[in-house]
Amino acid sequence: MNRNFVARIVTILVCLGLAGYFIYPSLVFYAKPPEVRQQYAKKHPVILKKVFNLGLDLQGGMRIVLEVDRSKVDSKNDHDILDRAYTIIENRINALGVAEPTIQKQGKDRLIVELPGLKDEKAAKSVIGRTAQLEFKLLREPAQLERAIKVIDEALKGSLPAADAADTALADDSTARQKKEEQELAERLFTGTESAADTTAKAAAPVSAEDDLLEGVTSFKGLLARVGEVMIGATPENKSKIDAVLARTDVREALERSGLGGNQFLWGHDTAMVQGMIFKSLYYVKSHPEMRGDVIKDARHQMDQSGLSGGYKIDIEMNSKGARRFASVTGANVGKYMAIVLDSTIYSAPRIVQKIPLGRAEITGNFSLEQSNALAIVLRAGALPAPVKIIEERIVGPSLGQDSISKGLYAMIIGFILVAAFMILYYRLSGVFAVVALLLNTVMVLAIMAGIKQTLTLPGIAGLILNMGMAVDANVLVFERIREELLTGKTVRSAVSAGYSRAFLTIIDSNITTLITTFILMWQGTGPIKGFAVTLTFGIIVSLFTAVFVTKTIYLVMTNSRDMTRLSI
Amino acid sequence: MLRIFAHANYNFIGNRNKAFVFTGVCLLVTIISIIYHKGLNYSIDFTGGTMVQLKFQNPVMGDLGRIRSIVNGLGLGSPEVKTIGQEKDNEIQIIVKKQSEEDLVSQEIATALSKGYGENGFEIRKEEKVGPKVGGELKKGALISLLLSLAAIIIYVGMRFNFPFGVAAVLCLFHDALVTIGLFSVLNIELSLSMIAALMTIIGYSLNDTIVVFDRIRENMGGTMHKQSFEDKVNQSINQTISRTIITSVTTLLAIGTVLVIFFSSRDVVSDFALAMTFGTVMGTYSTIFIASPIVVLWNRRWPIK
Repeated sequence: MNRNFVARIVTILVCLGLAGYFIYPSLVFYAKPPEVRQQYAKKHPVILKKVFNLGLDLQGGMRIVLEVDRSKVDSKNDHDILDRAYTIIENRINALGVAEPTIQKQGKDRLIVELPGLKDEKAAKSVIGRTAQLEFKLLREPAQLERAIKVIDEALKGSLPAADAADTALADDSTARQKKEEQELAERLFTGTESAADTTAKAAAPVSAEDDLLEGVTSFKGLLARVGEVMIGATPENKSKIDAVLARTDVREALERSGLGGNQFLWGHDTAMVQGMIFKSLYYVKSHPEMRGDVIKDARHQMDQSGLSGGYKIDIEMNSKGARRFASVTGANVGKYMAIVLDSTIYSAPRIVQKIPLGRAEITGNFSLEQSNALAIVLRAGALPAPVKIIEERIVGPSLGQDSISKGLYAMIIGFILVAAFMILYYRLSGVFAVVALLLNTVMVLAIMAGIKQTLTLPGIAGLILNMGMAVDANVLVFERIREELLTGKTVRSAVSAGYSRAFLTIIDSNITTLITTFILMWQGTGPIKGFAVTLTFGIIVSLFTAVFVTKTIYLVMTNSRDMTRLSI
Repeated sequence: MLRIFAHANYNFIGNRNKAFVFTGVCLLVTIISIIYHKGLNYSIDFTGGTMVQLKFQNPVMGDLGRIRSIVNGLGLGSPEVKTIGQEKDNEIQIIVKKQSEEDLVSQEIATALSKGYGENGFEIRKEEKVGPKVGGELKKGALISLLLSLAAIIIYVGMRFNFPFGVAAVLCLFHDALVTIGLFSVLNIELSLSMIAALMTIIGYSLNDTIVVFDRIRENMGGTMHKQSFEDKVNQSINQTISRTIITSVTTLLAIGTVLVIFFSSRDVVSDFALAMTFGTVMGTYSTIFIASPIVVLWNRRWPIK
C-alpha cells in the first residue's frame, strides 16, 4: 500500500471517529423514553449541549413571533425598545424553566420565542405578556445569611429524603411562598391543565420527583460552592436542587419560626467564571422592595471619566417622587448593598456609598461597554413599557410530535432498506459499497447536526430521506461510467479510475445547482423550510465525501491488493 | 451485470412532437384548473389566519354538521371544517382565514366546542396562527426565493454551458414548477410554505437531471461523434445517460414514495409535500428528456450552437 492509501484511510477513519464522537450523546439521549429524558436532562444539563435538538414539531411546543408595538410608546423612548423587550422576555423565559428555550431578535421590531416541550400555552402567553416588574431590594447582612443557612440545614437534618407534602400557604410574600408559586406555575406549564380526577396523581408526582432530585443531598450548605459577603456562588447543576430545598414546606416553616420569613433568596442573571468553573450567583435579600421601577425616569451608560481605568458607568435619573424616596432609602442604608431586581432576577447589587439627595445616581464598577449597556437596558425596561403583541404562533401538541417522530423514523428505516436493496440488487458488490457510503452519509449528517447544534424538524427528516434517494446519484453516475468503460474493454483498474474522473465534473455540476436552491431556501426560508433545506444541504455536501471519496478508496484498496479481472458492478 | 437499458437507442428527439402535445395538455389542464378554482388555494401561511387541529375521544364523522354550525355561529366568516387522517383517528381541522392580529380565534373555537359539543372531549393537537402582515411577508419571501433561484440557475448554467442551454434549462424548470402547481390546483391542495419548499426541491432535482444530460452533450460535441448531426449527438447523449437518469429517479422515488405511503393516512403537510415531490420527480425526469433537450435541438436549427 502506498502512502496515498494510508492518507485516504486515515481521513475516513478520522471522519468516522468524529462522527461517532458527535453522534454518540444524541444516540444515548434519544434512546431513552421522553419522560426519562426530561429527568436525565435535569440531572445532567451538559447533555443538552451535545445532542441535536428536536424541533417543536417533533417534541411538541410553542413558537411565537412577537412584535413591539411602537404606536403605544412615546417616540423619543423607542430607540432601544426591542432591546428592552428582549431583556424582559428573556428574563421571564428563563424563569419558566423550559429545557431549551430560544429567543432571537429578528429585524428591527421582532422577537422569535421558541419553547419546546411546553404544554400550557395559555399560561406561557400570560407570563410573556405581563408588565415588567423592576424592584430595588436591600441585600441582607452576611450574619443573617449565615443564620438562614444554618436554620435550613437544621430543618433538613433527618428529614431528607423523607417527603413532606403538606401544603399550607404562608401569609406574606416571603421567599418560600414565591418559590412555591413559581414551582407551581412551572408544574402547570409542563403538565397542562388537569381534570379533577387527576388531582391525587398530581399531588403525588412532584414529591417523588423532588425526592429523586434531592437524592444524595445531605445539607443546604453543601449545595453552595462558595458563600461570599455579597453573593453566594453555586454550580448550575445545583440550581434546581437549591430551588427544591427552598420550596420545601419544612424549610419554609423553619425560616418563618426563626424570624427570617421576610427575606428571600433570588438568583442573579449572570454567571461568573472562577478558576475555570462556572457559577450562578444567588443573593439573600429582603422580600419587601424599597422602591419600584416607577421611580426611574431614565438610565444611560457613560464613559467613566473619574475612574483611572476608563471603564463605563450607568447614570440614573429619577423623577421627582422617585428622588425623594431614593434620598431617604439611600440615607438610611449607607454601606449596604441594593439589588436591582427585574422580574425576580437580580442584575446587579451595587453598594450604597452615600445618601443620594437630588435624584441623580450613578453605578460605577469598571463595567465593560456591554455590561453597562445591558444594565441600563434593564433599568429602562423596568421603567418604560415595551409592549409586544403576538403576530404569529405555532403550537404542536406533544402527542402529535410523538406520532411524527415514530412515523419519521419508520419512513427513514423503510426508505433506507428500499434504496439499499435496489442498489445491491442492481450493482451487486459495488451496490454494497454505495450502501456503506449512504449509511455513513446519514450518520455524518446527524453528527454534523449535533455538532453545530442544529434542530431536527419533521421536514428535516423528509430532507434526510429525500437525501438518501439523491445521495446515491453520485454513485449511480460513477457506476454507470465504470460500466461503459468496462464495455470498451478496459481493465478493471483503469475503468474504475476513468469512471471516477469522468463522472466527477458532472457530479460537481449537478450538486452545485441543487445546492443553489437549498442555500436560497436556508437564507430566505423560515421555520419548516429551513429545517428541510439544512438537512438536504448537509446531505449533498457530505455525499461528495461518502459517495465519491469513500467508495473510491474501497475500490483502490480492492484493485491494489490483487489483480482483478472482473468487477461486480 | 444487471442492465435495464443495455444498448439503449431510443429516438427521443424524433418523437419530440408527441411529447410537446403531452406537455401542452398538462399546461392546459393547469391553466383551466386554476381558472376553475378561481386562482390558487393559498394556506394561512400566506393569507393569514388560524388553524386548529383537534383530536376527539369519540367518532366525529357523524357530528361534522353540528361542529360546523357551532363554529359558524362564532361570526368568524365561514371557517373550513374538515376531517384529517383516517376515520378512526377522530381528528378534525378547523381553518379560519383572514383575521386581524389580536383575534384569539383558537380559544373561541375551543371554548365554543367544549360548551356546545361537550359530550365528546378533545385535545388540541396543533395550532397555527399567522397574522395578516406576516402572511404577506411570507408570500413575498416565497416569491423572492423562487425567482432568485431561477436567476441563479440561469447564471450558473449559462456560465458552465452555452447560453442556449441555460435558457432550455430554465424553460424546463418553469414547466416543472407550473405542472406541479397544476397538480396542487387539480387536487385542491393548499399552497403552503412547505409546498414552496417542495417546488424548489423539484426544481433543484430536475435541474440536476438536466445537467447530467447537458454534460454528456457537451462531451459528445467535441468527441468521436463529430461527424454526426447535432440532433443525433443529443439523442445519443440521452441514450447514454438514460440508465443513470432512470436509476436515480427510481432511488429517489423509493425514498420519497416511502414517506408518501407512511404519511399518506395523516393527509397533512408532510404527505402533501411527499406527493408533490413524487410527482415532481417524475415530471423532472420527463422534462429533461422531452423538453430541455428538444429545445436545445430546435435552437440549434435556427442559430447553430458551436
